[in-house]
Amino acid sequence: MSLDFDDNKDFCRGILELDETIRFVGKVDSGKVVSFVRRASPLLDDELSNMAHYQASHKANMEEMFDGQLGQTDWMITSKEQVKLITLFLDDGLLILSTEPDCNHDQLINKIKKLNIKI
Amino acid sequence: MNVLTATDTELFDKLCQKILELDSKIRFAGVISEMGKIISSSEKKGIKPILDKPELEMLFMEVALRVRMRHQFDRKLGVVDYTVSKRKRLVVMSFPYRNCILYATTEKDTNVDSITQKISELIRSPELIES
Repeated sequence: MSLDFDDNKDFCRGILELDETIRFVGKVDSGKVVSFVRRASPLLDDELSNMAHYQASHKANMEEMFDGQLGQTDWMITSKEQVKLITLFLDDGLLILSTEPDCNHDQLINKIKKLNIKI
Repeated sequence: MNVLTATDTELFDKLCQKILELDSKIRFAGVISEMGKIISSSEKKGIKPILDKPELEMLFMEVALRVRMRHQFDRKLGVVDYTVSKRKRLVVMSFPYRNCILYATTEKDTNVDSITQKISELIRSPELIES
């Protein structure tokens, strides 16, 4: 079941409140960011930000090429000098997060799973 | 990338072997060129490969393509330390290494943080690879 805009906003806000190291939470559906919340000022301008979100969807599609052999993807992390980029594969789209680089991603993913979100 | 010397490939062979020795959960370690060609690899003894050769070649091309895509944000977000994909059957990791990509897979029930730290330390310390 897909959520409407307000539900998605609440959903993202609920995730943001889980951990102080989270900078940004977005929900992606069919390649588009349908809702997002942020704590910190963005590192990317709008144009680069849109490209980053598009890339997250594109990478998710590329991951599907090997689902048969390697199994479906639960989550992906790219750790960079300034941020960690986390993508969680949900039943109804993607959850994309950026966090501070020192975020304990294992702990964060476990916290998100405890919200009864099916990953 | 620069032309590889015999010393480079020898070093890559040692690196792949050392990575397998870091943790019993590591299944495979390989060095891939930025064009997605495998240069060197080691596989844990006794495991059954999940992908056949053509599938692996396609996967490495895809890994190389993604690494290129990620460079677009380096100026604002910093360079990539590593990437990890947790899948139902295994965990896939990649690390920038010299002008190449270090690719590794582990069992699905792996402590990802611990292994990424061990591999990062190893590739930052050539003396550890030679030891």
